Amino acid sequence: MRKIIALLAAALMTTALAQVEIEVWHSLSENYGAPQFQEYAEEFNAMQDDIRINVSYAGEYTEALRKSQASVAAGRAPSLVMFEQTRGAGFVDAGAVTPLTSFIENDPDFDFDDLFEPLLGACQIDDELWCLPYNPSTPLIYYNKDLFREVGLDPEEDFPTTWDELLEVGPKFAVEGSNGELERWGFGLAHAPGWLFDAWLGQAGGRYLAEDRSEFVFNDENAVEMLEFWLELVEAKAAVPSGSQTPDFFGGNQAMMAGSTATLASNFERADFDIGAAPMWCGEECYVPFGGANMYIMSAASEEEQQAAYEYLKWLTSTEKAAEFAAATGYMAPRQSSLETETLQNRFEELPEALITYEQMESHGYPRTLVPFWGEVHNQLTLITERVLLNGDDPQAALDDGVEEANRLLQIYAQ
Amino acid sequence: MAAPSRERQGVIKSPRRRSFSRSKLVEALSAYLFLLPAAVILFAFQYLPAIDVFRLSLTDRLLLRPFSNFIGFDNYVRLWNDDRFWNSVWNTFYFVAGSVPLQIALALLLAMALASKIRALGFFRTTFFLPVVTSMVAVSVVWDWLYHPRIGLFNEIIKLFGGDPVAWLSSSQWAMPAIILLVVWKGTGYYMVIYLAGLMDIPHQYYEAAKIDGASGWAMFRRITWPLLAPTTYLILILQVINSFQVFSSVYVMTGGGPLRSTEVVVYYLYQRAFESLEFGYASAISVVMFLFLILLTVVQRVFIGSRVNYDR
Repeated sequence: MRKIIALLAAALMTTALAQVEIEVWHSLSENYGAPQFQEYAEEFNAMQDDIRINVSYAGEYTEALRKSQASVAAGRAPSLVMFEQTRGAGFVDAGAVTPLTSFIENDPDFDFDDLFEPLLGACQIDDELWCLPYNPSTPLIYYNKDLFREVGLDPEEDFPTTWDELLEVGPKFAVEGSNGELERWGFGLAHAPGWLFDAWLGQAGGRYLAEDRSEFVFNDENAVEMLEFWLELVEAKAAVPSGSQTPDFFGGNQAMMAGSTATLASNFERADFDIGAAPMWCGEECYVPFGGANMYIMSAASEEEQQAAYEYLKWLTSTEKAAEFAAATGYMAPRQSSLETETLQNRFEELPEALITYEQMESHGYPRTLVPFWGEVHNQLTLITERVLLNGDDPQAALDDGVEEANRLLQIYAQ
Repeated sequence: MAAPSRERQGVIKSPRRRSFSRSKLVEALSAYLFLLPAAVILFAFQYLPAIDVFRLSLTDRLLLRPFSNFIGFDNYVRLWNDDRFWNSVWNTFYFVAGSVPLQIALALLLAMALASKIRALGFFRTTFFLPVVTSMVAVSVVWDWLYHPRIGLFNEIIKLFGGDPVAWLSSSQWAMPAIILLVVWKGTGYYMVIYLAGLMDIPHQYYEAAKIDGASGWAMFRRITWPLLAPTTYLILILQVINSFQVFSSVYVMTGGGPLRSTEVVVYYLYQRAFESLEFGYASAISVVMFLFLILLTVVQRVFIGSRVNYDR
């Protein structure tokens, strides 16, 4: 009897010793995949004995970023972290995350070519792969089909697919109140556009950085043209500058609203009118930026922990698991093979609009601008938008100031 | 008589003095021992980082990069020429000038009303204190809706009285008043409680005597309440000024410093530099300047106002 107990104890101890325990941080909220992400960890833990996953919610993207910044500075980072599209670059620059290239090269089971190539662009810096896409998204246009019918438009045929069509269709929704302010309108131009600035700029044929990444160029004629088009939309009453569109859209005051595909299910649930979702329109080019997040392995983790993190990440992004997560949320699965699974096929049958984001991503989806100081460029974009839309400033002058600050930071970080 | 007694005193006193000082030493030591944990924690988590901030302010440290160069006072020179910094200084003064007097006046008014004997006193005291204990972030989210230009409560009220709706948080003119209003609503209850305690401390006899002399309500306030509350007012003023200069969370949640940087206060700007462009050295310089300014301000308040405060009752 004693022998058996001793043996059992020894066996227990060895498994306990061999087991690698790792911390995983995510930024998914309750309605956007948090319960699923937690479940997957439990499933993985039950599946095998070598690795134990502890999942914690690190707060929304910005809060998680602050926590990760602090944890890196303190040298006590978790092993696997989810960073929003624009936030990983700072950690790459600081050497706080470790490239995945060698893990993947040493793993014959990992089907690299199955991953969507455009999405990988968000993880490639200096010829290394730094992350795997986990919950990427693109912006869609959500629209109120009832309002389209009310103003005599066909919600499918007449939905604007180009800038020109938007300028044509938009004003039809305009209804003025007694005080001269619009009570109903076509589209809302956000005060803090964030990634939508990327979309419009790209559609105008502009880019943030010069091709050789030596300087910011979002003050060229394309960018000016884009801001002038915004003003044209406002002038024509096709769109209004707006700080808070969600209540206006769901209250039936705004016909179209740009929003992430991640909100697809919740938007369709929330609307008490006939709601539709469509690809974002095109300008001179078709262009949508990637939202959502990627998963990074931190370099503060030990070799063992990194390997464990890689194994878990591989499992999370495997065909079936990725399909499950994509179906449960509105995010995209990073693998092409996931689209063939029954899980996602059922989902597309249920909600065909869930397929739009994949089509956009494959044909004209682009990664965000990967610089360590994107947060400040983001601030500049908000300021530019406010100056032009709210203050009537000259687009060129506003853009020049923003580019000057962005280039100042680019130089600091080039050292 | 005198000489022996002096001698005796001396003889007796010297051992006594030794034993007395020994017990005093033990007492002092145990006092220090009790202070030690708090002192260690304060030193490790407050003073040490504060000292390190000064060192960082002399470097070009970027938050995530582990290395940095000593650059002397370059950050301070840059700060002097930074228009955005001066804009944030102006916004901060605007905020302080708007919120501090309003809060003091309201807190005093409420305290005086609640110091009298009215019905449901406990209910009112709790009600006015409630905003203080709610989280600033939660409150800001709610007020975000109250300020909504089209469906917000405030604009509904304005329309009810025939006024034109205000764009509140999306107007560079109204965003700061909107934040001041929120902070006043949220913070007044706290100072009201301090004032209440101050009012309770004023002896009744003064008022009774004044009444016998036929003093009016206003005269009693001018001659009794206000002067005797001076130490309380002085305390509140110092607390408020220090708090107000460090306003952050309401700005962070409601406006993000906008629109057009009209609500970008110093601490918010500091935060942007530290955590968005990650210029930690520069952000440290801002916080050192802020620290020195607050110390200076407290000294000035002490010299010019504190000296006039009468603590005698």
